[in-house]
Amino acid sequence: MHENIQKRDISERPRKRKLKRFLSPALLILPLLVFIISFFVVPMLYILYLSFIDVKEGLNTEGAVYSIQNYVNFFKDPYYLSSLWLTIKISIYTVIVCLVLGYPVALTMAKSSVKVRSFITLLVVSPLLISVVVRNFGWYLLLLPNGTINKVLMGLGIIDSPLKLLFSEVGVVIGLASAYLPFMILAIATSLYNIDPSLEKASSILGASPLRTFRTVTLPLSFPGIVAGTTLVFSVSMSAYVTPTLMGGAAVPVLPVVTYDRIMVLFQWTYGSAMSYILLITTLVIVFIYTKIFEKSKYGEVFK
Amino acid sequence: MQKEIDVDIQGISLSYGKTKVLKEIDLQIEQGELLTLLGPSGCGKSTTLNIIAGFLEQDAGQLFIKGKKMNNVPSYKRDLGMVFQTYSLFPHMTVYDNLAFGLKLRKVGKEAMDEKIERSLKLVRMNGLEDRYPKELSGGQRQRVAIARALVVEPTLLLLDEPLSNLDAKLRHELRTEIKRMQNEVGVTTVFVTHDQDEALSMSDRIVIMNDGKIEQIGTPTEIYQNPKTEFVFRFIGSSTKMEGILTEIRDASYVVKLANELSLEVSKDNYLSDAAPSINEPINLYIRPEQCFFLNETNQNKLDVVLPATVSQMNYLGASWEVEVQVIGADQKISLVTQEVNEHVKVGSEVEVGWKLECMKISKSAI
Repeated sequence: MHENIQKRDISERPRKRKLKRFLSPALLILPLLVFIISFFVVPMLYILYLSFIDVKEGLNTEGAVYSIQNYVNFFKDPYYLSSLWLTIKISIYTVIVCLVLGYPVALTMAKSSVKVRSFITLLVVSPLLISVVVRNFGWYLLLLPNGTINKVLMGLGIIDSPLKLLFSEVGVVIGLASAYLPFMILAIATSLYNIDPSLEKASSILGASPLRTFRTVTLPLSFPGIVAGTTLVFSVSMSAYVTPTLMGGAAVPVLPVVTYDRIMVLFQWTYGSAMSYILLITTLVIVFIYTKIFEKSKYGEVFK
Repeated sequence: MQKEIDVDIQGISLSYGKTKVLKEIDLQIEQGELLTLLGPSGCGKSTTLNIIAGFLEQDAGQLFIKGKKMNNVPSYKRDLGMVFQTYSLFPHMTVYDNLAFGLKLRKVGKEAMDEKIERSLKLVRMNGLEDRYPKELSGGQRQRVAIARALVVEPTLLLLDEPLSNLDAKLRHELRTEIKRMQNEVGVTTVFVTHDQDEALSMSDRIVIMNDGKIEQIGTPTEIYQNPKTEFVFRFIGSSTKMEGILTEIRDASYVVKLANELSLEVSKDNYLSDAAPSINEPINLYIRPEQCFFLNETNQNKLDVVLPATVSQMNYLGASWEVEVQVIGADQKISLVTQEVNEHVKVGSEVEVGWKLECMKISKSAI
C-alpha cells in the first residue's frame, strides 16, 4: 500500500510539474501574443499577399492575377531606386550623427556617479516626452531661411546668403538625429556600464595611456552597444515618415513618403504593398550584413 | 647588509570628504620581499595599494618607488604589475593577446615577445592555452593568466589586490602556495592586500596590520602571531577567549587580576597590550588562545598554571582537530580549546578540567 503511493508520486509528479512550468509563462504572454498576431502578423501577411497582385488601383482583388510584376516595376524605375538609395543614405547619415554626438554623452554617463547619471538620463530622454510633430515644428522655426540659425550665422558674417536647411537632406537628418539620439545614447551607455572598471585600471597599470585604453579596451567592449544603437537608429530612420515629410517635403522623397503617396493618393494598394516589403527586406538585409561583419571581425568575442 | 628599499611611503594621508581613510602612513618595503597589507574592510589597505598603483593620489606625504618620487606620476608611467580580485583579463583578447598587451606598449619585438609570453605562461603552468579566450577558462586559470600578464612585463613591483577572494577554498589554498613559489622564482617585490589572515600568515615575508587608517604593527608572521603589540592585532589574528577581571595589585614586573570567580592571576607586564598603564580597580580583559588551553592529564598537570573545572558544552570536529567549548563551573565564562586528541570520556555535558600557562595570557585595559 505504502509502496504503491510512493511509486505513483514518483511517476506523476514530474509530468505535472512540467505542465505547470509550461502553463504559467504561456498564460502570461498570451495577451501579448493575441495582440501581436491580430494586429501585426495578420496585417503584415495580408500586405505581403497584396504585393503579389497585379492590379492598377484599389483593393479589388476579384479576378486578380498573381505575379511579381509590382516588384519588377519597382526595380525597373530609376525614380524608385533613387528613392530607396536616398532613404538608405539619409538613415546612414542619421546613424553617424547620432553616434558622433551620442558616444561622448554615453561615456560621460558611464563615468559619472549614480546621481549625475540619472540626471543626465532624464535630460537625454526628455525630448521623447514631446510629440514628434511639435518637435519638428520647433526645428522648422530654427531652420527657416530667415530662421534663428541662418540669422545668427549671417549676423556673425560666417555666411552671406541663408543656407538651405529646411526642405533638404540636411534638415531631415537634423530632425531624425535629434529624435533618435536618446536611443543611441541609452544603448551605448548600457554597454559601457557593463564594462568592469578594473579593466581600465589593468590597462593603465600595464602602461596604456587613457587614450590608448579607450581605443584598445573601452571602445571594443562597447561595440555591442554601438551595434544595438546603430541598428535601432538605422531601422527607425529607414521607416520614418513624419520627420521627412515635415522637414524634407517634396525635396526629399524617401521611400516611406513615396509609399504613403502611392497608397493614399494614387490608391495603388498592391504596388504600395510591394514597396513596403522592399523597404522592410532592404532594412533587414543591411542590418543582418552589418551585424555579421561585426561578429566576424577580430572583436567578435565581445558579442558572445 | 642592508636591503634596498623598493617602496618608501612617507607620511601619506588621504581623506574622502571628512572621513580620513589614511592617517600619515609610513612604510618601507624591501627589495624582493612579499609584504602583506592585512586588516578588516575599511582599514585603508586597498587605499594604500591604490596610491602605490597611482589610481588614487594622496592628500599629503611622499611616495618613492625605486628611489623615484611618484607624486603626480600617472599609473601608466609607473611600470608596475597588478592582479585584481575580479581577474580583469580583457575579455575580447586571447590569453596570448592579454599577455602581449603590456609588451606591445613597451615596444618588444615579436620574437622576444613570444619567448617572454611562453616563459610567463610556463611559470604559472598555463602554457598551451594561448589561443583561449578568458571566458573559456576557469576562475583559477584566469587568475593564473592574470598573474602571468602582470609578471610578463617584468614590473618593478607586483601588486596583488585580494587576488584569491573570488576562488573556492581548495583553489585558494593551491594558488596561495603557487603565488609564493612564483614570487620566489621571479624575486619581484610584491605587495599583497588581503583580509584573510591565513593567507597573510602563510604567504608573507612581513605583514602590516592596518586598522582605521593607521598601521598597528609591522612584523614577520611569527612576530605578529606570537608577539602582538596591540590588543587589536591580538584579537584580529587568530581567535581567543576573553575573560573579564579587575586589577587588584601592581607588582614590579606583573599585574594581579581578580576574575569574577574570585580567582586571582598574576600576569607579566610584558603581556600587557594597552598603551596606557592601568590603575588599581580598573576593569581588565584577559585573553587566552584556544590552542594554548589543554585538558588536564598526567603529562601536563604540573606544567599548567591555571586549572579550572568545567563542563563540555559544545564539540566541533574539524577533521585534523577538535574545537571544544567548555563552561567553567561556578562562573559565567566559556572557554574555547583546540585539541588534536579527545579521549573517549570527553562528551558534551561531561565534567573536565582545563588549564593553561600564565605566560600565554595577554591582558589589556577594558575599553569601556
